[in-house]
Amino acid sequence: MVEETEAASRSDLRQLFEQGAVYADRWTSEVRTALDVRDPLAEVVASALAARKSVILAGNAGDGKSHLAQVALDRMSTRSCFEVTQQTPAPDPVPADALLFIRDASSLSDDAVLSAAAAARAAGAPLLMTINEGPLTSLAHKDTSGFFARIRTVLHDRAMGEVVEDEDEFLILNLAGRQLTRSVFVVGALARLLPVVTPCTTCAKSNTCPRVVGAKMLKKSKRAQERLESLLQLLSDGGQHISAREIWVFLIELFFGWTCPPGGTEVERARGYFWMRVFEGESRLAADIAAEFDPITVPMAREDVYIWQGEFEKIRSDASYPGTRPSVVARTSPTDGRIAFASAKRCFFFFGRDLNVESILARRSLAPQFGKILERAGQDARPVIREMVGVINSYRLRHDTENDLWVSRHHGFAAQRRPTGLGASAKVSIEGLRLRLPHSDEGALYPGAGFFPTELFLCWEDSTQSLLIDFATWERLQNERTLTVDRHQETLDFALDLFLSQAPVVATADPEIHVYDHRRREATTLRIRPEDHKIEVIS
Amino acid sequence: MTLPAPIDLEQWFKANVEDFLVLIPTSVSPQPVHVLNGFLHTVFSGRRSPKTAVDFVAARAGGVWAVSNQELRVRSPLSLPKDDLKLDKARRAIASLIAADRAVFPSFASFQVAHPGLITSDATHLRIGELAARLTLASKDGEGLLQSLLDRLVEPQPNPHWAIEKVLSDPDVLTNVIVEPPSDLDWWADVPGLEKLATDLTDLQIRALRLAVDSRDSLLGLEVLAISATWTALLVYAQVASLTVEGKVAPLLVEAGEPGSLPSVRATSAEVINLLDARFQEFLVKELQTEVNDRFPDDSTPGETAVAYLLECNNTVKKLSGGTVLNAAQVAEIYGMWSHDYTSREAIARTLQECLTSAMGNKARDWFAAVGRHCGFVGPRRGHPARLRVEVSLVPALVLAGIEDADGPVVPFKVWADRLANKFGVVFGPHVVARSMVNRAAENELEANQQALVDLLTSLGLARRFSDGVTEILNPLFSWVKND
Repeated sequence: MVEETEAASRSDLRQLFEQGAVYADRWTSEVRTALDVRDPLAEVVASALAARKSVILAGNAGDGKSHLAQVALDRMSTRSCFEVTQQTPAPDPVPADALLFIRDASSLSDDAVLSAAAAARAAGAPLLMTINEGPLTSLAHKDTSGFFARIRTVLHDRAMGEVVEDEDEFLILNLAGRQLTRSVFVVGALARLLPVVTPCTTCAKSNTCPRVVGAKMLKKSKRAQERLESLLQLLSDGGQHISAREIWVFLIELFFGWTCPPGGTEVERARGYFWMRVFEGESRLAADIAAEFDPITVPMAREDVYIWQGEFEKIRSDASYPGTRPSVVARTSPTDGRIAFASAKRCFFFFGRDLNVESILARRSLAPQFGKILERAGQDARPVIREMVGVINSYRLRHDTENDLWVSRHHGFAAQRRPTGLGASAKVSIEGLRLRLPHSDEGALYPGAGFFPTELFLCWEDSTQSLLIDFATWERLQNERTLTVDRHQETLDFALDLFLSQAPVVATADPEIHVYDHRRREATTLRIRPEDHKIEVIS
Repeated sequence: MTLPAPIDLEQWFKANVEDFLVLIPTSVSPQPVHVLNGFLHTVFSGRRSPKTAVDFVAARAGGVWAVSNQELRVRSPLSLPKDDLKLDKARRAIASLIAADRAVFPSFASFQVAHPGLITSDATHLRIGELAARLTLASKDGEGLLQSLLDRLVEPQPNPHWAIEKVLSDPDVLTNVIVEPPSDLDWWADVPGLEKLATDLTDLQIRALRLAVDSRDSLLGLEVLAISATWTALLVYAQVASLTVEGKVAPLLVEAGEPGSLPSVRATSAEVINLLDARFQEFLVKELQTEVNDRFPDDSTPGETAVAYLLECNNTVKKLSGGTVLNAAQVAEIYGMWSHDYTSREAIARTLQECLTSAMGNKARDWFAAVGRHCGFVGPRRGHPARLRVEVSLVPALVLAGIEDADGPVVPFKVWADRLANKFGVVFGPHVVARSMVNRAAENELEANQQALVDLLTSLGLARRFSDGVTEILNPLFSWVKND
């Protein structure tokens, strides 16, 4: 009986994956259970509801709000749950021991949501609701009680890196702050998906279908699973928020998106292995990964020779490469030879035992380095502030100091011309600066749930004007400032101008002015003495 | 038949276009640096004597100092380095800070003003500074804010530019300087149907001025003031003509993000410049029509008489550099063409407009494109097609344009964007104004264009982006304001 249920469930899952249907709202309870990846937040939500707190789950579409709500509800045993829908409004009065559930606030009118929330509050019953920012904005505007405005304030403050505690009466979780590549989600999803991978329709029951072969190899190799995860993390370190649904779509596409061409050659079928589809698949994430990194572009003198010659056994690997020798294929078709080489090398990237993938990724992309900066910023902000101050000083004035931020300014108005001279007459100690890390609050409260920033804000102690440092900004700050038409640098320059304009500095009677002329690459230090009508050149 | 008195087209243009609009749309020179200088020169009394500063930084073509080091030491009241190398270095460094916009020459100069001692009487702003001054002083708060700005800029400011400009200023130049409104003028802001535009532009100028007075940093405030004033002139050119001719603001679809990455937005925003030019020409026709109607009581002027009259008028127009004065045959041919479709009076007005436009050295559309490029409202920097674009330096002015006095520290993006569209016709994304355009951009590209603007605002720290695409504009009047 149990086996039958499991078999039926597997069949359901296969069908679901073949269709790419990853909308949790439409899953049956069995499917949801089968696909549930352990999430520490489920217990957090269930506990809060049990303690009669209302729970608001916010985030982008696909972040897993509905799934989390449903999983948490599944854990609630005794309480009666009323789901408020367009057809079934909240009962009047709400029983005190009940729980009101709004699966998706955007599916109801604002009035219906406000009325349900008011009814729950009046009865002292908890409300569980998933909501996007758009409807929340509208509700906050209309709600005279201030309940939704408070929720919105908490969400926004945390998204900007402020530490805000939940109020006694509700718990707010913003799933948009999670980078699931930094949780167990990817490996957990693979554990659900890999066992149900079947051959494509062309291969029918053949176990040599690249879908099945790749899935079996990946299932057995924890190392390969972690490397797949690290490729996704490369994107989130680079600033992309990857939703749960996007990860599911990506993984499903790896194993269910391929159909072997009838009568296809081995090289043609090679494109169906997951390690090829990671870089060549049709999902957005595959394209993004390929743009950021591809192992075939990494030169490895010895391994490349082995791979080309097909001496796969000479490379220590978790699994044997199932394809043919590239050099042999290349004798009849150089193009096919290159495809065979790409397949073997990408396979080696996932399964090779002696590869230091972390180091390879760090050499090919700056994103992991930025990810590490974000990690360090969460632990101790000061060294990161110093590092940021160092790159700003170097970018603007060619100064190498890291302990003080030079308030370098220009006063050019022309939009079509980059300012050549930047001058600073004051500097601010790094003690006057602080970092704000979005969702750091949730990261500390719910370790392991994946809350992690994709950017940071450099702020003055007493000004709301901040400098947004995301991966792209940080990357540009490493480069030399030019005077050519470069809109990215112009944006960075202007952002720095706006930020530095708010520096807490005071005028001095006879300032020492540090000027860097970016056209001549000339640094000059002047002393201006207005009272003495004097200009001195110090250096 | 006795011909009516000819219309002196040059005088007519000066009175009915330049004086009326308070701008001269036949020059490509004005830049924000000129405009700010012109604005300050218009509103503040006093003499202008920045000779020390001009001598110090002005260079001739080829980069040679207009005044040699030796001569400078003799002329300048300042104590300067004795060593030529050091003096050269100081001059280069200072020029790169206060004369980087290449507007300082021995004969006329506009500095990047940080201290009022360096305001000059340079007229290169070509009345745009005056336009900004008139709009500012149309507000009851204008005079007080200008006085506050003067008071502030006289006091030491914590930026290198102020100290440098202070030392280069004549010590007594600011004695007894007061706010001095320009003389009265019949101008567009008093015309029924245009008051709302005038009020909205006045509000923008006042907010920019308030920022210069109250923000923590005076440099930033002055920069925003310069760009706002320049952009205001472009909006006056675009919308006064449009409101006069069509009775509604022209839709101004502005490209954001990477140039040319959204082809239909690119094409539509380029077409806007043609549309504005057409509206401006129609505006000239409409104004000339009034003049012609006064002179010709009825619509039965014979063709030869009309041509003879037109030739007399055409003789009054002065050819400007790059323009062409039409010859008699051309005038007759143009009149003949128009008279097929229009009454004699209308045909005369249209022919006069063509005579006028032909003689202009720089056409109004060139003026719009050039001034737009200088303030970040037109791109690309070089090449074609010229189109409405938002460059970073325009963004703070754009933010202020969508802010209202009652706003708090944040404004929902949609509210802000709707205000820009409704007040000034400026649109970036899907909006009824954008959809009303004849050459309509694709909806998905409008979405992407709006997203590009959001990205730009966020990168600059002028907006906050939350999940689900929700964005809030940060009100600079709160975030940049002084704490004291």
